[in-house]
Amino acid sequence: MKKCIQFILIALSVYSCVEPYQPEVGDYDSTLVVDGIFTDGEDTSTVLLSRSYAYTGGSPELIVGARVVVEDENGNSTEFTETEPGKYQNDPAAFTGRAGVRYRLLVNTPEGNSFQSEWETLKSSPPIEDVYYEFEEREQDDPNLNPFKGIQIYLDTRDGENNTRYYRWQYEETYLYLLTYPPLLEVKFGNPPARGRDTIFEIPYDQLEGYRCWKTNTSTRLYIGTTRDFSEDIIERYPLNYVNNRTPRLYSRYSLLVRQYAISEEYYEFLRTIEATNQTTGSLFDPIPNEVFGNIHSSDGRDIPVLGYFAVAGSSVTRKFVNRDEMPMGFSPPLGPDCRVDTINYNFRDLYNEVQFANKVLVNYTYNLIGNPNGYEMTTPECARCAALGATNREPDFW
Amino acid sequence: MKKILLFFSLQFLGLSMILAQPAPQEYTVSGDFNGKAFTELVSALEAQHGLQFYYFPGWTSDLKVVQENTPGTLTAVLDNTLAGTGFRYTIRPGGQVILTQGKTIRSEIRLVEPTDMISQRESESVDVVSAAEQQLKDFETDWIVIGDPAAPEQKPRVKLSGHVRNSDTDRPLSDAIVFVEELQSGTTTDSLGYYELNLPQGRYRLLFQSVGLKEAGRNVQLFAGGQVDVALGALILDMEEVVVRANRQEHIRSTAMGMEALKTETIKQLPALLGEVDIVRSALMLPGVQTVGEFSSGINVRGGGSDQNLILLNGAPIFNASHLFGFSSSFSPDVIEGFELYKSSIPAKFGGRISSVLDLEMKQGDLEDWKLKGGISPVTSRITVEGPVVKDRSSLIVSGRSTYSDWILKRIRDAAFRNSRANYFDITARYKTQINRNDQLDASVYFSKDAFKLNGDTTFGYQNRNAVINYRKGFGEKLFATFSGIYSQYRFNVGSDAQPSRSFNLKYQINHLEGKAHFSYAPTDKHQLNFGAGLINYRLDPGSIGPDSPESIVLPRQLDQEKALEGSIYLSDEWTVSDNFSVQAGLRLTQYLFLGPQNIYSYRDNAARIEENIVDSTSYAGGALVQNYGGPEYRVSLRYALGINSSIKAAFNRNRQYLSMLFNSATVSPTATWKLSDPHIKPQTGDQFSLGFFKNMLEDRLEFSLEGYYKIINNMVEYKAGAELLLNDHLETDVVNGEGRAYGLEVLFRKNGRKFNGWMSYTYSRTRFRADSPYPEDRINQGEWFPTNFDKPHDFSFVSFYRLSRRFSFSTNIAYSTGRPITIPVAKYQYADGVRLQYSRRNEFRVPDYFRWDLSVNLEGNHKLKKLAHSSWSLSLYNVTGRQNVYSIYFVSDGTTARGYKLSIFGKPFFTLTYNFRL
Repeated sequence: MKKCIQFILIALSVYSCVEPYQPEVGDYDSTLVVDGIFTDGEDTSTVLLSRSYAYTGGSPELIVGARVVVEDENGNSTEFTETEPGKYQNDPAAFTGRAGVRYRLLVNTPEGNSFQSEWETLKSSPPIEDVYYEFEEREQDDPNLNPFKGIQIYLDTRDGENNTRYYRWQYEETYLYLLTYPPLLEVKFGNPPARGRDTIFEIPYDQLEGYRCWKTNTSTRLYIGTTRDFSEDIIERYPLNYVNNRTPRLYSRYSLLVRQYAISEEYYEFLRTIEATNQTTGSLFDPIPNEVFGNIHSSDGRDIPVLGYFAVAGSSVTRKFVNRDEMPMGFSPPLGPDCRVDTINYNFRDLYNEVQFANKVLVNYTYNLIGNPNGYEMTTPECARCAALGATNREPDFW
Repeated sequence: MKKILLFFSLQFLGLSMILAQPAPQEYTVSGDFNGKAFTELVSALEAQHGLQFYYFPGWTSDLKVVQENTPGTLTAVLDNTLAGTGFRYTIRPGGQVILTQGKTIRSEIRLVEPTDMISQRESESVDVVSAAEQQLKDFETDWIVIGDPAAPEQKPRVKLSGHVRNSDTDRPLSDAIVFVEELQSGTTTDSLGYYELNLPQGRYRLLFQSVGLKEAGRNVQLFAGGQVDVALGALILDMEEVVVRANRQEHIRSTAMGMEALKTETIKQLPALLGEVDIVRSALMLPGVQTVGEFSSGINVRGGGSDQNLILLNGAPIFNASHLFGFSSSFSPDVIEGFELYKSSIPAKFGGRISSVLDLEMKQGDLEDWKLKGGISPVTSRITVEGPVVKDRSSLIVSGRSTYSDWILKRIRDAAFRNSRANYFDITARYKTQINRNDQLDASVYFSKDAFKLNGDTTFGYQNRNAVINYRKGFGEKLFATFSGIYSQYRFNVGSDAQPSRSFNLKYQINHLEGKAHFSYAPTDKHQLNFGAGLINYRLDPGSIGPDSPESIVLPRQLDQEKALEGSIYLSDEWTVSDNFSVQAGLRLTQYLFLGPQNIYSYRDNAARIEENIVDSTSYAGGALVQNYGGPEYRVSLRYALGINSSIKAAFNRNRQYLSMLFNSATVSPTATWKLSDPHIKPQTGDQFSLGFFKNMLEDRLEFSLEGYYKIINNMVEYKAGAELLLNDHLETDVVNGEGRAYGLEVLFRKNGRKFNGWMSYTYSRTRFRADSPYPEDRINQGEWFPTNFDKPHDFSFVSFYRLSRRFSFSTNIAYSTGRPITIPVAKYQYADGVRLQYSRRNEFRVPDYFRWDLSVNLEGNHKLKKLAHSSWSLSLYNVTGRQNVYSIYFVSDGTTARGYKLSIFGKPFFTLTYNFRL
């Protein structure tokens, strides 16, 4: 169904052109956004509070110092604590969701407004039956380019009791990549720099960056599915992400932590509408997008719009590993970022300029024939340090 | 008269032959030439009798003489010899024997009488009439000498008489003019074709004329009284096309307002994109007709929704009039004569849609000859056969069209499109027969089919099929009746076989079965009455889904069939009150019955109509009345003439519509469904007031009109935010009945000319919608007025055709309009691990204005009468300025970033060359 809606005037696309468009938008209402899922088991539940921000703006305004409470229909409640700005979490050991119980969210913002969600019933989630992958080549949009090689990750799940019906999935991918030029030296510039007070010392062995980086990303797309039109509550071959060989993801080992939520029909419909309004195709057959409001409203009956949804959903988790030796010949993903090393003159002024203004990292000396330093090897940060790309050089526990 | 010097050729002699002589002298052929070469005979006779033979040597090289008797007569020998050869001969008094090929030489003798007559040739050199003039005139240049110059009659005046007849029918011509050029006087023939003139002796040139026949001229030298008989041949004029223009004053004289008509002939001259002559899209160049997007199906007439137009093909409604989701209209131009579009003043005989009637007229087959024609464009080819089943009585036309657009798909820079396939075709046929003077039978069928395969797994298809039988009967001169049976069906299906366990097939179907009788009666020339009655039976399958393979676990599901009857009676009178004032008043009464079996939900009182508020449902048995609607529809138009060249008109129209189309996209989407009015979704009604001023200038060559309208639409259907319209058995929770308001002013100049014609129009119009309710869930945009998707206030179009010569014509058009309203994000927010878009209210923004300029050149093949095929080429250039008109603006957030895009289709000038042929 989705595809046929996307099927915009095929014949015309040949001569069509797509250009970036920046709307001239004036005022907008900065609206409270509640992003929360209350779940069962030992998992921590999180409620994020923020405000919508300008289309051209950079980052959301986080709501700090709000009071966030989840209560059940029996009168039990717990207050979430703010672990990071705008991020409120519970202690699952003290209060966690149970299947069949109705919960709601209460929020008091620092401005003094109070909001509450509808009552939502928790459904427990069946375990994820399988997460697996298949090799698939993907044609690129430009027919003259070689197709991508890669793996498509699929998910199967089933509820033997035909009870769950509506699903949402999140994943967290972790992969290993290699640094090409982890630094052996570190420079400390004096004040003022390059006036003889600078020092270079060798990084101690136990503090070396090492070659291995583990990078973790969270899914940002929405993955939802339903079996309401099927006689059995079975999801087969639900496509999660596609991993191609143009990134280092498949260089050594790739891991995917998939979390499945058993969600309500209303939450499913809410997410489906969000997805539809955020993934339009430009066809005039796209549903006209609209503001999407969830299940949260003002406690005192005032008409204050609130974006987002407080979902209550049982969850289950599974982790999948993909090792390099499972990949076929000729797959050849890169081992890490594309790196090269530049040599500069052996003086602190050049070194300072490179580090300070060109954002380069000192790797090592270059040496002359008799073994004395005569220059510096410099490289870009992503080739030298895991943190430059948001990765870590600590091996995760599950690895 | 054009004179050229004679060079001696038999052909010329044949043309200017004259004999004024008693029966030719008979010559004997004394020798036996049987079996000998013709030339031998010739040389012998030339020697023996001094005869002169004239012929082309090549003609007789193989000719053998056939002589039965020795000696024989020359005529007998020549008769036998030339029998079956195609050659003819003439023996002239002077002893010239002339052979001609094919042509019959008129050797009849026109002049005999006087006993002492000498005939002689005045001159050896002959004036030659040019071939062209020869076709028009029968001028002989030889001199007819009457009487003996040596012994002229002893009277100053002599009597010249004669007889004039029609050479084709041999009947005498009465009242033919006999004119004596020198005297500038003459006479006419009597009822038996005889004439008589009394002339002084002398030389005269006589001209004989009769209407519709060739003019004849004779040179006469009169020495005595005599007789000149003439036969006039039929005049075959090779004339320019004669265009009989009717209805030039129609514009001012009729009471109709807001009516536009276009002929396919005209539409074909418009620049055509990809060579696709598009009947429905051409209507967009008319004032008051708009569309949401450049290539979208559906037109919006005077601020009405795209479901509010009744599109009729030979009387049958078409539910989806476009191929390829709007790329082209689903009618082949070869089988459509033209259309009439009623934007206001909708005649009482039409009903069922509130904005307009687009009445497409199907061509009828040729009554004389079988013809084959076709055309090839970059995406389609089409072919039409037409001809008489019984000559001059019944005719058949069959036309088909099919696409081969896959090659375009393969060039698209999008992998999903490259794996898609698209096909469509349409077939139209019409049979029409004149049973006798008063009875006529007219039947037609139409079938169109679109099929797509998307990205290799999703299939999509839709079909229109309809059949019409019209029986027309005349009762005398004043009363005419038409009885019609109409069947029309539209269906679509969506399927997928990507995963066997998930393969499904979804179907939708609407059936329209209609019977009606229409009468027109003109008791006096002041009144024209139209009346009739009709009944429509609707049967609608709103959707079913089922597994498409045995292993599929898709749950079969079927929504209840909807059934309804719509009955109507109507009467209208066009009354010419006085020369200046006329009235057309009509009343149409409709009654709509929504019938069971049906299951209807009831909702909590004083609450929003949402799924959560369903409290009960009522089941109705088969055939039980669930709900009825109905009421009068008024159709009144007035005209008052201000002098002979201008008039003012006013009209009021009410229409009811029991069938609405539901879609939640900017334009009619492929899965848009028609929905019958039910207890919750009420029928739409539209009231339109219009006022106009009409003027003709420059002897009707320039027409001007100014029309204004105001329209109130009640129960217009709009979808709610996030509506789910497919397979929904409680659609009333996803749509609202709101109110619409539209108003506008249309200015039109139209130039009618032989070489140059076209029109220019400007429209200012607004159209708005409001859905208000005490309950927020039933409101759109907080219950305030907002512009509809097709609210484009300024609209300008210019269309012109210029005919440089009979083979070469040129056309251009220019279109401008305000950009359509859109809904775009005004802010972003962080939700579910990603960046999401916060949208404005519905239709709060607009895309940039639209402008396009097209050109086309048409070259007809040569005008030779006899050739294998008549062909024509047309070259069109679409979007000359290459303006990147915005088709849509859309936004995509993949969770990490949100980007806006502007999509333009044909953002560059685009050439198409089309070849058409006709056998």
